[in-house]
Amino acid sequence: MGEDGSAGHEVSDEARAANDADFARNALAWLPDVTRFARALARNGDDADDLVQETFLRAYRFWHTFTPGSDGRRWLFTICRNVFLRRAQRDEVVTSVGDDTDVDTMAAINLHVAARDAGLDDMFARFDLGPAITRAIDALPEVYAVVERMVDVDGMSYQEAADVLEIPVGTVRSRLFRARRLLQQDLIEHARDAGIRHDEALQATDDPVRGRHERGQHERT
Amino acid sequence: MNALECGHVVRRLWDYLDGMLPEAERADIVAHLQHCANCTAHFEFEQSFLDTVGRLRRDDREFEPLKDQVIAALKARGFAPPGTGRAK
Repeated sequence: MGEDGSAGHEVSDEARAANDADFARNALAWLPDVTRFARALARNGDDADDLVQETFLRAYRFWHTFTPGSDGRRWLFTICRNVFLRRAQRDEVVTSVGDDTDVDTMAAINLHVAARDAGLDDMFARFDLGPAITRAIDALPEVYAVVERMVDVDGMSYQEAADVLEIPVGTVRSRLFRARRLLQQDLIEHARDAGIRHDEALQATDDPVRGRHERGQHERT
Repeated sequence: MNALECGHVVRRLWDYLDGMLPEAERADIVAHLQHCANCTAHFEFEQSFLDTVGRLRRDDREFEPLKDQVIAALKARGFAPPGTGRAK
């Protein structure tokens, strides 16, 4: 039995200090990324924060199993996901997921056509949709919300999301396309309501935009 | 003139915007978009959607309070952050 420095006893202060410095540098440094990931998994911010804490406590306990030079971020994501799944006590596949990426992509195009017809071609520039998007993502079925947050919000690649969630890249892709479609449906409805309120406000003023909007309506009829 | 039809191009919308297409196919789409205002409008709309969603990404600094909390929990289990000079 060789001493590998991993045992919790008979370890010198110097070795422990080196271990902790190593943990701070190679694990704690990833806390922002782990937190984003935890928030992608857990709907509720407090649950996500608990998940992050539990992840780092476990990571510290098992730090001696980490292979120096390997991907610490990925290692932490795996711990985080395992803690999450154990807590949730359910497998992540809760919904049977359709996989028709062509249909979902074409639906997104059709949603753009609908937005344009409603005078909302510039909706993303015209309205502050941030809060509405956050709400709409939270309202998505979990399997779509997780991928949407990981890829479109946090900027992970398909491959990275697939590795961490332990699902095929094609599944990431199909869930993402479905998520975008559902999200846009929601946002266009939101923008349509916001646009109506916007136009009503304009009617109280003498704004040339109103005239242009009305002309657009006449052209289509 | 255009080698690709609009229907084919818009089916590649997300793969194109996500940078997932092989170079040759990507180049074909670029060539099509240069001539097709309708497809370009779709691609621009969807890119602005992705840009808007991407702006929700949280800044690292927002997580500082949580980091302090995690460090406090780790300290209770013997962790000494570098620079705190425990090993004296």
